[in-house]
Amino acid sequence: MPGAVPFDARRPPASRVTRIALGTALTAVSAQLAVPLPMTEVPFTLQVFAMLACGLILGPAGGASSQAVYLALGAAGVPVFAGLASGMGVLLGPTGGYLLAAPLAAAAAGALAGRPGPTGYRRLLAAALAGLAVIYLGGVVGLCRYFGYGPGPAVAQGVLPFIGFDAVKASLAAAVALRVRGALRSR
Amino acid sequence: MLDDIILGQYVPGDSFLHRLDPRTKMILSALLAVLVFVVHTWTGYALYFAFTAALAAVGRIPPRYLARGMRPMVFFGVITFLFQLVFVREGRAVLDLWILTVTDRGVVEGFFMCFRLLLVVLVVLLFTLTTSAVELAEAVDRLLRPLRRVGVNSYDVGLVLSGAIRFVPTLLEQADKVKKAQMARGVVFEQGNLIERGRKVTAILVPLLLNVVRRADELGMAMEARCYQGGVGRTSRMQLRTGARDWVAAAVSVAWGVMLVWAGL
Repeated sequence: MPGAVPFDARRPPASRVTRIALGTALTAVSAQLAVPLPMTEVPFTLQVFAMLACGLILGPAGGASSQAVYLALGAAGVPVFAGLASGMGVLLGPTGGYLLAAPLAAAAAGALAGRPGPTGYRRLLAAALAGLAVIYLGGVVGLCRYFGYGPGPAVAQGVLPFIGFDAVKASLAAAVALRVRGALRSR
Repeated sequence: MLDDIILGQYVPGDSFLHRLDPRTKMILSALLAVLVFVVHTWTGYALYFAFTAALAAVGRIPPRYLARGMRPMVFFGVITFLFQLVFVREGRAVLDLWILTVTDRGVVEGFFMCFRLLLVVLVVLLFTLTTSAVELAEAVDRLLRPLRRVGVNSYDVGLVLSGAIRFVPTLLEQADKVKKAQMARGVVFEQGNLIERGRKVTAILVPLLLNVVRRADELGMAMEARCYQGGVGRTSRMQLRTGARDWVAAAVSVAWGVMLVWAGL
C-alpha cells in the first residue's frame, strides 16, 4: 500500500503532545481569569501560576514547548494574551519581556523540580521561585529595551509592585504541582 | 471570552487580502511589524499609517472591526504614555508635581511611542482579520516544516496549536464542574483572607488539572489507536497555493519598506 508508514518506536507517546496542548490552553485561559481580591483593585490573574505550573508538571521540555506555542498563538493573532489582546505588538511592546521569558521560566522551573514523580514541597517552591526570577529578568530587560532606561527604574516599576502577589502565585503553583505530580505518578 | 479565543477575530470575506496565501500574509505582516521599529520620524509614521489604511481598504475591513481589535491595546498604550511622561527628563518642564516633572519632550515622546504601538497592532490586525483559524494553523505547520531538520516536528506543533484551542472550552467546562462540586461540599469561595482563598483555589485547581490531564491522555491514546505517527505521510484537506497575487503583494510591501528605509524616515 503506497503511503504506509512504518511504526516509529522512538516517537514519544501522543499523550505527551496533547498534554503540552493542554498546558498552552491552561495558560491562555489563566491570562483571562481574574480572581477577585478583598482589598485591592489589582486584578489577580493566574497567568504566572500557569507558566510555572506548566514547567513543574510537564517538565522542562514540555513546559517550554507549551509556553512557546502560547506565544506563537498570540503572535499569530489568536487573542490569548491578558485582556484578550494578541499580536506581535504585545510581544514587541513594553510588557513583552515578561511573556518572552515564559518558555525559559517554565524550562528553569521544570529542570529544578527534577524528574516526574513525588517531590518535596520545598524543592517545588524553590523551582517555582527560580522560574519567577526568570520571568522578572525577562520583564526588566524588556522594559529597558523598550524605553531605553537603566535597570533601576525598570525594577522599581516592573518588579517591586508585583513581587508579593507573584510569590503567592508561585507558592500556589508549587502546592498544586506537588499534588498533581504525586497523583500522576501513582496512576 | 470563549468565542473570542476560539473564533479569533476573523471577518469572512473575499477581498484581495482574504485570498492571499496565509503564509504570504504571515511573513509580510511580521516584516511590516518590524519595519515600524525602524521608522523613526513623524513623516515616516504618517506614510506608514496611510499604507495600512490603504491595505484595510483593499481588504474591505470595516473600521469598527479595526477599532474593536485595538481595544485590548488601550491599556498598553496608556502604560507606554505614562512611562514616557515620568521618565523623560530632557526638555522644558510643563508640569511640576513634587518629585514628578513632566517635560514637553516627555509628552511628545509619549505620543510617539503610542503611535508606534498602534501601527504595530494595526498591521498585525490586518492579517488576523483576513485569515481564519484553520488557515492560520495550516500556515504555521507549513512554515515550520524546515525545522524538522533540527528535530522539531511541525505536525506536532500544528497539533498543539489546534489542540490548545480545542482544550479551552474543556478547561472552562471542567472548572465549572469542579467548582460546583466543591460548593456542594460546602466551600464558600467568596469568603476568607488571602491564605484561605489560596487554599480554596487549590481545592479547584488540583482536581481540575487531574481531570483535564486525564482527558489529554485519553485523546493521545485515541490518536495512537488511530495510528497517529506525527503526521508522517499524512495529507491535508487544505491546500495552500502561492499565486501571482502573492508575488504582487510581496513586491509592493518590500518596495514600500525599502523606500521608507532608504529615505531615512
